[in-house]
Amino acid sequence: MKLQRLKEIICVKPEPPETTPLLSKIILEANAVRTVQEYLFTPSLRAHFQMVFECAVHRRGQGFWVQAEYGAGKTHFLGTLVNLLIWRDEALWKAVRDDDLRKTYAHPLSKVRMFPVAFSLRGMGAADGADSLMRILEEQIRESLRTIRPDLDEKIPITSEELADHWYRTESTDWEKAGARSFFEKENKASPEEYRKANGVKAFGRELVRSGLPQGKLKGKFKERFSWIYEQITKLGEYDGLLFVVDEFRSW
Amino acid sequence: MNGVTELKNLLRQKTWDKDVVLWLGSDAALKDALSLCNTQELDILDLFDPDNLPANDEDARARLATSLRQHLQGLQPTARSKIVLVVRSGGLLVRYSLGLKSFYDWFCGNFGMVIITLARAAEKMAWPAAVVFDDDRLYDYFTGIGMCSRVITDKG
Repeated sequence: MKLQRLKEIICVKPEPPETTPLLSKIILEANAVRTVQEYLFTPSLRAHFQMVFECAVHRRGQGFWVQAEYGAGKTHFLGTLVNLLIWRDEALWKAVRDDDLRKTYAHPLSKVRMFPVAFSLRGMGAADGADSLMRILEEQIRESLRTIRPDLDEKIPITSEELADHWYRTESTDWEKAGARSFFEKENKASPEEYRKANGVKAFGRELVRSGLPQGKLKGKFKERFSWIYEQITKLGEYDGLLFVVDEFRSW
Repeated sequence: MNGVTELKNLLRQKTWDKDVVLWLGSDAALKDALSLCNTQELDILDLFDPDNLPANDEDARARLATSLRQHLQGLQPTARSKIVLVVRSGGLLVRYSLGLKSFYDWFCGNFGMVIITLARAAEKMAWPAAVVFDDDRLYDYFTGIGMCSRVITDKG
């Protein structure tokens, strides 16, 4: 048998392909179809997608941990999953290379609305303090609101500082307002309103927290805080649930 | 810590892998190493609008984050046009707790690499007693877990 030359069997790509996708980029609506189109569903991966899709279709909350070796395609897997769960473009499901998945889930998932909070922990900076992951999650929820639902951004307080500010503006009694006035005048030589204007909501809220006045109103426990955020986003935004995706967890 | 040869080898690679390098050497040595690369410079200070400066830290952080993201999204490195982004005034990323997240989210990949320059004083400065100066603050921040992927100097 005559052996073929290697260059007749394979051809070298003119340019090196992109092998390190960035989660932030591949889940943008403009890149969603391409991300899904390039994803190859092997039998084991199909089973993972089915497991997650079943939870979404039946509105069942669940956490999953993705673990695989370097270069296995974790980010591409997450990106494809997120795109199929959040975007409603018809072309997206047409781009899915797996017929079974498409036939089974394209229609049921079209009725599910998830609010996405997808981010990578790489490059986040120092994670000092016991509650740092909670702060990161809060910041990322804020970021998603700004990007995806700017109409809800100012309506949903998330952090302790924002909750304190919200409490002062909408819930505090005249007596509590007088207490805050006394605190700010003594500590900062300014009225609460002046301090808020000069230093921003975060600093204002931080001072309110320090004053102890809104104690018990800040939903300080992790579960309590996230229940509040979940309720607000799903109710005001008319979502069925929240979809958290954290990439590069080992970086934290 | 690695020497300049490692940087030169890295720059010669066909593709990179989400690389953010902390450069502790001289500007001249860096310029020499980058002589054959498509390089862009970004001074974080330039991301502030001098005609519309932020009123407070919170505002400064938000504006800096937005400007940095927009700048990085605009760069679009490709296989035909790889970009090495040299970042100056990196201390502002620390000052406003921005970390390196934007670089990893929007720029560093197969065709985009970042070099953060960090000049360290050769001799101990004589600061007034009221000033607390932590010489290692920036170095420790940028070399923390999940931050710069390599630290390179021209010494050694």
